[in-house]
Amino acid sequence: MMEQDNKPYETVPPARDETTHAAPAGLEAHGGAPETAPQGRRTLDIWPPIEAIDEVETGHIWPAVRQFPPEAAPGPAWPEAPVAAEIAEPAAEAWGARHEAVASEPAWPDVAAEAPVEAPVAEPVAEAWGARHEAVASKPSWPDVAAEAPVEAPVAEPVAEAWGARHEAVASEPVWPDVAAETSVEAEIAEPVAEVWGARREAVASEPAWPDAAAEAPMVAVEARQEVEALGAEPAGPDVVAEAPVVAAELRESAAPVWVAAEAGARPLVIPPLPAPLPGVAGLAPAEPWRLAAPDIRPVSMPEPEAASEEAPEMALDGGAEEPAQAPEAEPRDAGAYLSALGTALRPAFSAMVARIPKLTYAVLCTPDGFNVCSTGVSNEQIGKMAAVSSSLLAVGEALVNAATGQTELDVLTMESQGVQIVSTRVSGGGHSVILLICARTPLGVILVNAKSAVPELRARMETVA
Amino acid sequence: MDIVVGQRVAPQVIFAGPMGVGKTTAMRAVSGPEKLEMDVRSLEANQEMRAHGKTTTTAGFDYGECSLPDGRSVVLYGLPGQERFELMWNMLTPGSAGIVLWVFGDRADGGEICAAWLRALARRHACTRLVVAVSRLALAQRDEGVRAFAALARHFHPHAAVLAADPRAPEDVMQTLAAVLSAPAARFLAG
Repeated sequence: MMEQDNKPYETVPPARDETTHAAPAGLEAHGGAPETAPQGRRTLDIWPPIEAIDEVETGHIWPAVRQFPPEAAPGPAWPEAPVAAEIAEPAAEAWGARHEAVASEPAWPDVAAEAPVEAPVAEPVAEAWGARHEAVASKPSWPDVAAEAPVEAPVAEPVAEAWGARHEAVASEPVWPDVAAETSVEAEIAEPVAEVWGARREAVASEPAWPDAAAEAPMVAVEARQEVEALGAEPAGPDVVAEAPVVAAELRESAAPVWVAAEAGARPLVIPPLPAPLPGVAGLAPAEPWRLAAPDIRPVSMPEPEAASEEAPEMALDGGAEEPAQAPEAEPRDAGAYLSALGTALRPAFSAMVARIPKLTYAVLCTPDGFNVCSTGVSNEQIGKMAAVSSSLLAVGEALVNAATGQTELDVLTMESQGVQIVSTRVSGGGHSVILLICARTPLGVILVNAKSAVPELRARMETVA
Repeated sequence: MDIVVGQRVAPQVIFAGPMGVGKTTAMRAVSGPEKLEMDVRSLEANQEMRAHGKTTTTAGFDYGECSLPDGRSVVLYGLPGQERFELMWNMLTPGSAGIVLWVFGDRADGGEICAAWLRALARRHACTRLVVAVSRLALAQRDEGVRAFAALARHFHPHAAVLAADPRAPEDVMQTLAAVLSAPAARFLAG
């Protein structure tokens, strides 16, 4: 995401009449040049006059608009300032004489009244420019379009520089920058661990590929790692480092006091010796049997290794249908029946609520653990994910509130993204709890009012569910 | 109010694994008071789990901090175990210094579950340290179980370490942390 955001636009200069630099014909009737340069999706959203222009005319008079579709130009708005100047300048020139005349007038907007002939042109212009005109008219120097457009560049430049430095720093980092650094630091941990691997080291020393392991014991871990890394996936000798915990478990069982053994020249231990046989640790007699363990322990069956492939196969955890589920056995029938009953009970109130919210994008009712109860505006493929994300979102929000204030529940969570408002809240009643999430391109207050008005009815219906 | 600028950066270790294996328990075993838990009541907890007190599941993520015996701090993140929360997996796993994958050692399908998780992690990680912590291994099956999981793990990660551990035991959890931070980093294999 960051990469996408950091990527400057591939800006395409707006097509314009190079001979006259005149504003495209017809543009005046729709309010002239935009206040700012097109800025991807936002510009298209806040530029209703363009929508009024028919397709042919749009393509003819303002091809620049076509150069900034949201899909073609995702990214931040800051690099657009120079483009804004290019767009604004011809428009400003076209408006030039008009602006000067207007600037000389003491009271704006009186254009329509004082220039009847120009009224058909001036009125839509005045409407389109609206607040912009008022702000500009209040300034001593008009026209400001051309003057202000270049100002955006100085503003954008330091931002671009700041981003530039960040980009360079990020670009200069390796894919895994801390590997080398951490390896040396962790040697302090690895070495004493290596000391513990006495038996293993002896085995290693007996093998021709690693003849000096015993003699070089203090550095076994470091050198073994380097050796293994140098050889890639084919370690020359036994993978001492990776197998260490296995060996350590064996040693722990023997309770040999090798944990504190330090050979001459070895660095001091930085982790304490492993404790004596631990209760409950696998491999040792558990002091307390694991209570969830099945009474008849079944042998672990390992899947047959799959043939190596260039690409990782689709995983069950990523949606592969044929792969085994990773979760323990659940009770889908009970959970499904519960979700169905809850959804059926809440549907009338949910439907009434979404009908009252204009420009609704989607709405989700889900359980706190991420199961869909009732939703609209969400595709079948997205239902599960939207419910899970909604529950995670509120869980994270509640954890934040709890950490900050000690309160356990979050009343309302709101977010905004380019005019799209997202509201989430928890509704509890009758021993049930659901999370309501609404997303709409509507003023926040409208969503809040409708959501809060729906809560009592949702709560009442939840109390009817067994 | 005092203004605190910056933060001491500590390596992040991810606790991953299927639901109910003990990730949150392991976090609690070693985390200090800074921990955050986002547990909610679970519809999935089966009868056996509920009978033994497992009634919740992690909806967001678990967060904890602990100090290693050498004084270093480690930041712990516990992933939710269900696939539907993969958004959290995608968010949290790429920045981790190492992963501790907790797996069931007492289930017949434990290997399948472990393989599925390894595939999922392989898809999200180009390079990291990996420790597979096998819980609930019966005494008689400990060696065989650990070796079997080790063979499986090596199929996905050349330097994966495998050890038996009890998530309830702080010593065991600390051992997994020491192991994961001392293990060499390597790229996941395609599996």
